[in-house]
Amino acid sequence: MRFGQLASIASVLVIFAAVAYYANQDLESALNQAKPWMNPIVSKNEVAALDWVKANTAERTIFASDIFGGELLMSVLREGTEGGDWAIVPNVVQRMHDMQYDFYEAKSSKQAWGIALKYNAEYAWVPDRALFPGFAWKGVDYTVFEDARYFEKVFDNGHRIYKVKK
Amino acid sequence: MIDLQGDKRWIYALLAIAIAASVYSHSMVWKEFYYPTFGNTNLHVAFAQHMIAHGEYPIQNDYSYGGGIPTLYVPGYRILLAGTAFAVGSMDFAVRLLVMLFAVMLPIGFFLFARELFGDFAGLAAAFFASLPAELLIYTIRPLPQGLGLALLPFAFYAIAADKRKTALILTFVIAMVHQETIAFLAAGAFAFTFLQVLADFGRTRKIALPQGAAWTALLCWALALIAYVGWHFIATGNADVFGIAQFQNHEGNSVEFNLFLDKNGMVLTIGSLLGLVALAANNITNPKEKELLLIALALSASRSSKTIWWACACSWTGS
Repeated sequence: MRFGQLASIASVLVIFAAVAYYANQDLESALNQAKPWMNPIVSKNEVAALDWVKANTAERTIFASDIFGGELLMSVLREGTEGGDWAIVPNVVQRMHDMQYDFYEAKSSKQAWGIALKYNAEYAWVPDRALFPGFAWKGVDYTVFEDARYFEKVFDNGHRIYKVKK
Repeated sequence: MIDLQGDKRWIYALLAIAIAASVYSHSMVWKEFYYPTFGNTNLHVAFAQHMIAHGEYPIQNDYSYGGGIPTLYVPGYRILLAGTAFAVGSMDFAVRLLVMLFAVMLPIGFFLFARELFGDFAGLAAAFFASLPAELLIYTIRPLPQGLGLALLPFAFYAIAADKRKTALILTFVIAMVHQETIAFLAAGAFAFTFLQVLADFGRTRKIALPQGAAWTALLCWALALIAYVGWHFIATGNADVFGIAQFQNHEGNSVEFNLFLDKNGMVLTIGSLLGLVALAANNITNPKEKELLLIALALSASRSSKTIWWACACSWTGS
């Protein structure tokens, strides 16, 4: 085999090795970037609570919820005050603001109760995980739902469901 | 030596490895106790459950944000999901199974399209490169209409490039019924291709004429995509104001800058894309071939997009 042929084979092998090396790095990077998107966000207790929802509420019952809670409820044909296709919803940013600051981060049970009624919610969905109502991730403040004049706890396995009093 | 030109078995053996790589990268969808929820995955599950439970598509009563509003989303993916869940008897299994379907379709579609443009080696490279862009993986590893749309897209562009008119039109309509943004990209690419072809023909003949061959097929696909997009919007909402929805009003999406481009496409595709564009320009800039124009049209269409996903697609083809 002549030197020219050897050189061209060697060049091809070097280029192939370089591409393979960087492709492997790119694949690792892609996998690492994709991993966080696999996080289901919802908790195991929250998913387990769906059995109670199916047994005790009618289809299309509305729950005051954050985005991920609302979408979990959709999977069993109930509805959340949030979650789903925001592109089609009138005043959606106001709704997110209401659920973030005047419901889950309300200063009082009465304020949260008012928001639940505003959006026709029959229940409040209070998960044992961080919430995302549209503006920011927040921990759950259970004291918002403890005033018995406005909310009644009907389910608790860590994840809680409160009935909104009329 | 491997004879890729003669014995085609080697090509299919390497394609099988590319498919295995794609399945491997998508296999993380099985690892969590619940399927991925980012991107409204359960909204589509809701519609699929509703179809299974009630045998109808609730077009006038979406499940989003307390319901009571018409659904804008096209129904293709949801119908497929309902059918799959009905067939396998489990919604959880069905949604993860569809992700595996995307994983298999992606390298095959990229292979067919790139092979049609530049031959077997390019096809195989594109099939392997389909597993590299992080953005493409992020959108196809979740059970979403985007995933199905993206998996179908290279098949549609293959049909356009090969001037398989009936197949191209069927795929265009199917994509239009699966995901709106994907069909918007297809329409933009198809129109840009036709425009460039007419321009190139004018440069050669000094006459303006209707496009022929693949460019004519692309124009028909553009028209069908437009009719299907606006048509569904009208059926769902009663008006044709496609830019009136909150997604446009609130300017969803980000501008794509170089660092983001590199991060989401990786080193190989970024360098490959640049080399590919230089090669395209150097080869035939004054007398471009039809298939080169199609690739340039897709790169141009992606460059006008605010989402890196289209860059990732265009890069995979240009890079290969």
